[in-house]
Amino acid sequence: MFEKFSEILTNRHEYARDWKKRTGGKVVGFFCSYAPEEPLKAAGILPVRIIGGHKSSDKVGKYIAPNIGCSFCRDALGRGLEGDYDYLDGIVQGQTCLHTGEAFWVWQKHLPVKFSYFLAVPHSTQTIGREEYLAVEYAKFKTALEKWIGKEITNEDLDRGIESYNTNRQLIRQIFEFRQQDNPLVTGSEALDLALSGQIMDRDEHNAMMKEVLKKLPDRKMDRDPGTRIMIIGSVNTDREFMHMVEHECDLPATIVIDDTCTGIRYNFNDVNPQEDRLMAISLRYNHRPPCPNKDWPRRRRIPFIKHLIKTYKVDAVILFNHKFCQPHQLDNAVIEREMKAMGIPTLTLEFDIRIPIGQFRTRVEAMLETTMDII
Amino acid sequence: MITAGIDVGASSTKAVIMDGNKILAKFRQMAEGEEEYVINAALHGAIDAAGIKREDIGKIVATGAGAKNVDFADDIVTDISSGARGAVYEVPASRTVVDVGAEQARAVKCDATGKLLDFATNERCAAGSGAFIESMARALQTDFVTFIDYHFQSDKDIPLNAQCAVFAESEVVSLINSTATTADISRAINNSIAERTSSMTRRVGIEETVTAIGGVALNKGFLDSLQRFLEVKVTVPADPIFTNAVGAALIAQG
Amino acid sequence: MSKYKTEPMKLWKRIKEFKQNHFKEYHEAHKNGRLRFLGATALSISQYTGFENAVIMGSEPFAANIAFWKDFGLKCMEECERRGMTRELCGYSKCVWGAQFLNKNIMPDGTMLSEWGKPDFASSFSLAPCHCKWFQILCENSDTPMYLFDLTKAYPYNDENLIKYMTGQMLDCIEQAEKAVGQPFIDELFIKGVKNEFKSYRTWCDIMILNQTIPAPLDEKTIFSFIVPNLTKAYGDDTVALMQELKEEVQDRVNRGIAAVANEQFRIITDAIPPWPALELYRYLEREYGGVVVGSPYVICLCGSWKFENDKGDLIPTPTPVELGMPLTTREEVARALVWYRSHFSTETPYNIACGEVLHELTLKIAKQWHADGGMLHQNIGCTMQALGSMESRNAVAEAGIPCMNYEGNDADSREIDLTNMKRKFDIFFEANNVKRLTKKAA
Ligand code: SF4
Ligand code: SF4
Repeated sequence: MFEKFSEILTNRHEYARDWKKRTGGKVVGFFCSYAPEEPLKAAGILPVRIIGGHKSSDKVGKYIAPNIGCSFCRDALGRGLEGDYDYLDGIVQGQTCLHTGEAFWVWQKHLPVKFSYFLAVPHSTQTIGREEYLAVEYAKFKTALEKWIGKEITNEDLDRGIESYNTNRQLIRQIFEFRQQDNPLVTGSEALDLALSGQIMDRDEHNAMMKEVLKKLPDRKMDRDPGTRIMIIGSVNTDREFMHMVEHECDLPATIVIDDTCTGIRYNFNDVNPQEDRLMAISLRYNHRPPCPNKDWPRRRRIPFIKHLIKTYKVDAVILFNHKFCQPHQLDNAVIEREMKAMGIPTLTLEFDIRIPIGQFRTRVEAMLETTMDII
Repeated sequence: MITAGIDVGASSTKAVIMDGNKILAKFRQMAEGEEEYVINAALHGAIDAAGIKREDIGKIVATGAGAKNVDFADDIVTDISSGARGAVYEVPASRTVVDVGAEQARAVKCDATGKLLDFATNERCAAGSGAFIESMARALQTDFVTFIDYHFQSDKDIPLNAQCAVFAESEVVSLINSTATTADISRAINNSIAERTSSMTRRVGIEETVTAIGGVALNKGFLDSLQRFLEVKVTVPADPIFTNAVGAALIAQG
Repeated sequence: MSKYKTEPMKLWKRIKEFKQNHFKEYHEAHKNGRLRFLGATALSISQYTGFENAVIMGSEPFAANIAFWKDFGLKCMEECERRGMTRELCGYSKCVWGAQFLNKNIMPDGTMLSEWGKPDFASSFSLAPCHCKWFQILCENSDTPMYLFDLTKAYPYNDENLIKYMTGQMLDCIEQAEKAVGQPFIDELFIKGVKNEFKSYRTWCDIMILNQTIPAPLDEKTIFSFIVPNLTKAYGDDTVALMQELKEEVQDRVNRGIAAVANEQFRIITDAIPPWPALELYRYLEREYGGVVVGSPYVICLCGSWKFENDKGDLIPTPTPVELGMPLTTREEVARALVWYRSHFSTETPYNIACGEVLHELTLKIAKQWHADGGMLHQNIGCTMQALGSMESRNAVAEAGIPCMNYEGNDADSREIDLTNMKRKFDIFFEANNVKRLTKKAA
C-alpha cells in the first residue's frame, strides 16, 4: 500500500530531476526541518530535504572532523560532495543545531549553487518577541527569493503554499492515527517512508497519493503480530534498514507505533493557522510546533509532548535514537530516560553512525523485547 | 660524506648508510629485546653490510617513533620529514606521500626537493591505522599475508563505515556472522582504511605523483583500495620499509 | 644570547589577585548580604549592575577555573557521567554541573570550597543552543531562577531585527530578575556600569592591537591571565582603571622593545579556547622553538568588540556607543546600545552558528594583521561550537599561504588530551617550516 512512497524515496534524486524536467521549476535543498518550506512552495520551487545515503565519503574529512560532526550531517554533506545533489539550484537552512549550520556553510562555500540562504530561526521557541522576529526574517527571505526568481510572491501564492503543506500534514496525521489501533494498520517502516517521502516530494503530488491510500487503509488487514509497541525518540531518523530490522527481523514481534523525531510526527503535528499577515501565520506554526531539543528551553515542552504520545499510541517501550556526535539530543536524553523510568517504560539508547552495526543492534533490541514481553 | 639514517619503529628499526646520494647499505633489526640493543644492532648491521667503519660515518640522523632513544644521533627529525625526503629520492616525481604506520597514518604534501608543504595525521582513533588491519586479520583468524591475498578473491564492496575502532570491530564481527566470505571482509577492511587514508590525504590536497611508503605499502589489497578512493595511481618505491631511514640519511647529508 | 630583551609583566600579580578577590567576593556574597548572579559573558553580565548589591560572575571563567584544576575538573566530569551525561558533551557544562552535583568548588588559587556557589539568578546566551541547554540543566537541578537569551544571528552585525529582539529580551530579563531577587533595579547604576564596560572593552582592543608588534609584548598564555577582569567585571571602575594601566604597561614594553618571549622566532595564532588542563603546551612552543602565540579569534574578541573596516576590510575595534554619541540616558537606550556593541565580533559571537560564513575569514584576518608565521588551531572537542568551524579556518589560512595545522584537544577534559601526540604534531609542524629547535632533543 505504501510501496510507491518507498520507491520514490529510494529514487529521490531521479524524482527531483524528473520534476525539474516536467515543470521547468527550481529545486532547493534544505538541511533542517525548520526550513521555510511554505514560502518556497509559494515561489513555485520544490524544496527537498537533504539527507544522507548511509554511505560514507572520503571527501567530508577535509571540512568536518570525523570526531566531532554528527553522522547525519556528515552523511548528507558527503552526498553533496559526491555529486548526488548536482541538480540543486539553491540551498536553504532554517537555523537549528551547530552541525546542520556547519554543513550548510561548507556546502555554500564548496558546492556553488545559484541561491543560498541562512534563515535565522530563533534558537528558543519560548522567548519574548520571537514570533515577530521570525516573521521579519521571513519577509527578508521572501524578498531574497523574489529577487532570485524575478517575480513577486503574492498573498495568493503564499496561500497556495500554506494550503498545500497544511493538507499534507493533516493527511499524514490521519494516516498516523491508524497506528493507534491495537493492531496498527501502518507499520513504523511504512510511516517513515511516508513522512520522509513527503519531505522530498512535491506536496501536491504527495497529497494525491495519500488520499488514494486513505480510501483503502481502513479496510486493510494486517497479518502480523504487532508485539511490543515501540516509540522512537531522538535525532533525525532516516534509517530505513533499522526500522525494517526492528519490525521484521527480530525473533520477537514489535511495531514502531510513533516517534518524536523531525522525520515523523514532530514535524507534522501542527498547521499554519491562516491570518491576514501570512508570514506571521507561518512564524507562529514554526514557533509553536513541538520543538527539537535545540529549541526546547528554558522550559521543557518536549517531555509533556512525549508523554502525550505515549498515552495516545499506547507505547510499551522507547528507543532513544541518537546520532553519533548529536550532542543536542544527548543533552535531553538523560532527562527523558529519567522520566521514562518513572513511568515504568523500558528504554534502550542506541547510537547511530552513518552505517550501523545491524547485528549488534538486533541483539540489543531483542533483549529489550524480551523484557517487555515478560519472557525473562 | 658518509651518513646514516636510523628509523626506530614499533616493530623494527631500520638503518641506512649513504655516501652522498648513493645508498651503501640497508639493515633491518626486528624489535626483539632492549630498544638500545635493537638500535645498535641495526646500525652495526648496516655498517657491516656497507663494509665501512663506525668512524667513517660523518653524521647520524634518527627518525621514527623511538628516534629520541638513539643516544648517538646528531639530530632527530620526524618521520614526516624523513618520509617525504626519502620518497622523493626514490620516486622523484612524488608530491604527495602517504604512510600508514602501526599507530599513525599521515599524508604529506612536498615539493621537488622533498621539503614539506603541508601534512595531515589521523585522529587518535586506531581505526585508521595499520594496527587495525592486523587486529582485524587476527579476528578473521588469518595472518597478514593471507589476509592480503584474500582481498583479490572478492569483488564485492561491502561498506564498513563505522568511524571508530570499537564500532568498526563490531561491524566486522557482524560481517563474520553473516554470509560475507573472508575475502569480502578482507576487502571491506582494506577499503575502510583506504577511505580514511584518502580522507586524510584530501585534506592536504592530492597532487600527483602519490607515493605510498611504510609497511602497509606492501599490502597490495590496501593499495588497490586506496587507488580507487584517491582516483589516481599510487606508486610504491622498491623497498618502502626503508624510505624513512633513507630520508633521514639524506637529511644528514644536509 | 637571546634575541630580545624580556621582563615579567608588572601587573601580572595584581590581575591574579583581582581574579582571586572577585571569586572570593562571589562565593562570600551571601555572607556579606549581597546577591550572586551567574551569567554567560557574551552578553549577560553588565545588565545586573542595576542591582545595588550584585556580585556578578561570568559562567565561562567560572567553568574554566574548574577545568584548569584538572583533578577537581575530572571529578566533576565523572560525576556527570555517572548521571548519564555522555563523554561527548560539553566540557565547560560538565565542569559546572559536576560542581553543583558535588556541591563543591575551587578558588583560582586552588583552595577547595565546601559549596558550589549557587547563584540567586542565572542567565545564558545561545551562542549555540547548547550554551543555553547548559544553564537549563544547571538551573533545573539547582532550582535557580534563570533567563536564557536567544542570540539568533550575530552576523552580519548591525541588524535591526536582531537588535530589537535582543533588546526586548534584555528588558524582559531585567524585570524577571527584579521579581526573582526581590530588589529594585536602579537605572543609574546600570547606565554607569554599561558605560564602564564600553571603556574596558575598548581598551582591551587597543591592548590586542599592541600585540601586533614584533616582537610581541604579550604571549597568549599570559593574556589568559588578563581576561578575567573584563569577563567578570567589565562594569567596574576598578576594571576600567586596571585595563588602562595594562594598556600603558604594554605600550611601554612596545616602546622599549620588550618581548614576551626572548627568542621569538615564529609567531603563531590559535583559534579556540585552549586546553586549560595542558597550558604547559604554550611553554613547550616557546622553550623548544621560540614559538609565541600572539593571539586568536578567541582571546582577541573575548574581551573586546570588533568589526571589519568597511565591507570585509581589516579587523578594527567597534567604536563604542559613547564614541558614536548614541543616546544613553534611559534603560532602553542603554540596553539597546549594549546589545548593538556586543553583537559585533565580541566574546564568542564569531563562533555563533550563523557566523560560519565568516569565522574563517576572521581567523585569516587575524593571522595576517597579527603577523603570524603560522597557525596552530585547537580542534577543541570540548566545545562543539568551536570545534566545528576549526577545519574551515585551517583551510582558509593554509590556502592563503600561511602554514596552518589543527591539533585535537579539549578545553576541560584532561582525559581527552594526548600531550605526547600534540607535541609530536608541533614538532612536525616546526620542522616542516624550517624552524630550528632551540634545544637539541625532545624533552
Ligand atoms: S542529528 Fe542532532 S546534531 Fe545531527 S542534525 Fe539532527 S539535531 Fe543536529
Ligand atoms: S559546547 Fe561550547 S557552545 Fe556549547 S555549551 Fe559548551 S562551551 Fe557553550
